[in-house]
Amino acid sequence: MSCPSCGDRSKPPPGTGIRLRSFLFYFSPDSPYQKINPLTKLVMMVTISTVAFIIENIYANLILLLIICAGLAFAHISFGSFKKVIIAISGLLLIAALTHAFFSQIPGDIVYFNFPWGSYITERTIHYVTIFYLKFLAASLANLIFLCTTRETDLIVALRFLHLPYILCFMFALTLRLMSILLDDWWALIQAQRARGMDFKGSIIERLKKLQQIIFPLLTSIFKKIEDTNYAILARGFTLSDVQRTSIRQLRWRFFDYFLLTLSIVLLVVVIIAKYYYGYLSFR
Amino acid sequence: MKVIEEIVVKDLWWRYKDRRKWTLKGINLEVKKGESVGITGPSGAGKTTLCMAICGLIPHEIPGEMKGTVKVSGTDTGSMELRDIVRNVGILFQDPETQFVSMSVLDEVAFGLENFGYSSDEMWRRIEWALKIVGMEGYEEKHPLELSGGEKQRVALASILALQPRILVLDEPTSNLDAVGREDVFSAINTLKERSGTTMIIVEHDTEELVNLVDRVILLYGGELISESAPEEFFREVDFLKERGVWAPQVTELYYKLSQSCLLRCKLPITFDMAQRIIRDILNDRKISPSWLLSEKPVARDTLDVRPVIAVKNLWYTYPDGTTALQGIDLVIHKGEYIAFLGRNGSGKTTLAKHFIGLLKPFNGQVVIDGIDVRGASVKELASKVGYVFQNPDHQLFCESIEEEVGYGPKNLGLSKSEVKKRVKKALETVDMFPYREEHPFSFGKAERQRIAVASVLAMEPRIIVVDEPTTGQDMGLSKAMMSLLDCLNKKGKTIIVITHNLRLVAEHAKRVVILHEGKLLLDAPTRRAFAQSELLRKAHLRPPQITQLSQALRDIGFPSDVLTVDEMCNLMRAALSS
Repeated sequence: MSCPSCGDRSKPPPGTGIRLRSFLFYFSPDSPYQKINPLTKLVMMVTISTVAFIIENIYANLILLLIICAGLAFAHISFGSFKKVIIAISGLLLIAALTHAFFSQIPGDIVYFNFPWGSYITERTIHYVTIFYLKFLAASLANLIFLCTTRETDLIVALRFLHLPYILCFMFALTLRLMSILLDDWWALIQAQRARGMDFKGSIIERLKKLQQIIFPLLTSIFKKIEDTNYAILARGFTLSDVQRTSIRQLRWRFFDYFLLTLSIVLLVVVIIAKYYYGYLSFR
Repeated sequence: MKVIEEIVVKDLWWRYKDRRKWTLKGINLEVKKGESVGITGPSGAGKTTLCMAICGLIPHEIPGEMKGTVKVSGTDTGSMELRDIVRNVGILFQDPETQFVSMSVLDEVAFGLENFGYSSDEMWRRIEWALKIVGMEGYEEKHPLELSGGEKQRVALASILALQPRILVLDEPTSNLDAVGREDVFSAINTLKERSGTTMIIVEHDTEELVNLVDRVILLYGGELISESAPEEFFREVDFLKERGVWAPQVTELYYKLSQSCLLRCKLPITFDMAQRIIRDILNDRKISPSWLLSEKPVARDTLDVRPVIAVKNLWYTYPDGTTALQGIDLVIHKGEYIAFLGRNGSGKTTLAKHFIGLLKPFNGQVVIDGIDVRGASVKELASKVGYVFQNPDHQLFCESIEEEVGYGPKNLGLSKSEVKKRVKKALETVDMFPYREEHPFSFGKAERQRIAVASVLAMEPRIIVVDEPTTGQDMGLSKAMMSLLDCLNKKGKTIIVITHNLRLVAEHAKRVVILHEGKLLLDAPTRRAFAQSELLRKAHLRPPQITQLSQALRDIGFPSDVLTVDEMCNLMRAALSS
């Protein structure tokens, strides 16, 4: 068996039986997505999101959405774990689409409704808003698949492969790590202040004033933690100077990765040509 | 054979930037290759600063003024690059959280190796070795959020070990951990000592563990090295150490007390095994008479206020991530009780206590505080009944002066200015901080800041005070001072609930213990009865105080299994020896 961490070395899967923690959820090391290397996943996520935004044809958008939903099923993530996220995304997009409709002035053959502020809803408004909803939903779901099946550590490997400066990749990783520490501190502070009778009721100004009672100790705590982290990394040879560094994780390229990368790029090129050269897939 | 000095500290003086006082004052220290040296001393003695100087962070990264020299393997650290120093000197810090900089165990252990440009094969070899030493094989792909404090600290140790340093500096590696985490880390250090012969500097407040790990102990006090000898010699000066905030192992203290009263004239034991052997030798297989046994004086229920101040009925709580933290807890606490909540990290102690002030609301079941159901009460309402002192005092402090800080809570309760002033004065007098009322809270050390945090809660005049981990990261002297303050408040009629991992202090102060395990109430009993149940304690991953363990080990010769303090054991021994 090989290491599920994209290592190029044959190694029994560490922590066999454990589930891997992605950005958002836990997923099985046996998930087919775990076999795709993180750079391929990143490229697929970017191209599919871009394609979703380029195409403005309700059928094409629907087909793309169906493909992404199939991908979601393929990811072996139980619907229960992310249904709240999907419901939240769908709800937010619906609100955005409706808001868009209320303020749009898209001419059409049938005017269904005239708003007092000069906007109106036609059959083309409904058409446009549906496309708007579908394209954002498709892009969100593509991102969701990526976040559900990729670990922070894998993303950093992909970024390092793209030859992004090491310091940037490291800062990105460290920021993710410090964010979780910061959140813990934030909740601890809120609870500590509430325990002394503070509540967050009142006007926005009053709430902001109360926030300063959280911000000051939060900054004190986080600066101290950053200082400690700084010593901990220096004690393990970290330097900003240009030294030769290696990486324990390597990107593993399989045939499937080349296939998916080619497919993604071909799809993007075809969609761009179809829309901007031949004028297909545009909103009419 | 020529003895090689791995570390030579010569007349080292260090003063942090913008500070007038020297933190280290003329330290001289020599450590031989393969030697393990323990450093102990009260908080603020300069222990961490000395560790920083040995690993080169002083003077390379930390601004300040330095006099004297630190030589590692014969080279002055001042003339070396920091990277070259840390290749030979690994340092493990106190806080496992801030040391963990990567998003998986594998990346964390590889971090140092990557920085030094090791090849992939070499990295895998070293990582495998280091994780095996600390017992963390199989955890390579775990996320930091999935690890306990003890596991994180072991990973941090592995990440240092992977660099295979000649010298290892461990700066209070277990002070933020529960009993299980501590045991795991100490066992990893022991394994390392046995297998690799690495030179080690270990800073530790827990002298009972320290004696098993080191060849020599030094005492730092006020920035000076004031005592240095083998553990057997070092801990002989029990009173001298106690005056300087260092508590000798309980077994040593026992024999010291007995020798003071001329009942014993033998070499003071420093380990559990030595102490047990000596007692058996002295008593020479005589069984001690049951008449010498302690008479338990349980708190009579009828002396307690009949109406409970806290009533918890079938309490269930599940966190939003799905973790069920409490499962059907039933608990009644009466006015004036002094209770300790015990259990390993994640057992549900803090979750339960947070219900008392309404920070968490029951998922199922009921929590009634002084007649008020917390479900229908706001935190503000409950704050006048329950004072909650958080583990980190800095989470509670944000005002410019101590007076303002302590007055913040009463002001939130809508009290008049004169009433606030009266309460602030009373609270500050209780914690002996009134003369400093105009100073900034952050101009004091952690112990004083904790007292300020207690005062800020006292000023709201709650009937119940919950103190969460008051002794974590503190030396024994300061921990005892905090517990004495709680004793004093308890005598004034306050109900005290303390959440702690320090069972020695629990045995000396708390009257009742509530042990939680995996969200369930495992045991609720008077302290003496609870500590006698070694099987249950083991199940909850708790280890009774050394003196209780000693009496339990001597059960076959008639010792009771519920001795709680050194004084009690001393009385038993006195009776046995004078018969």
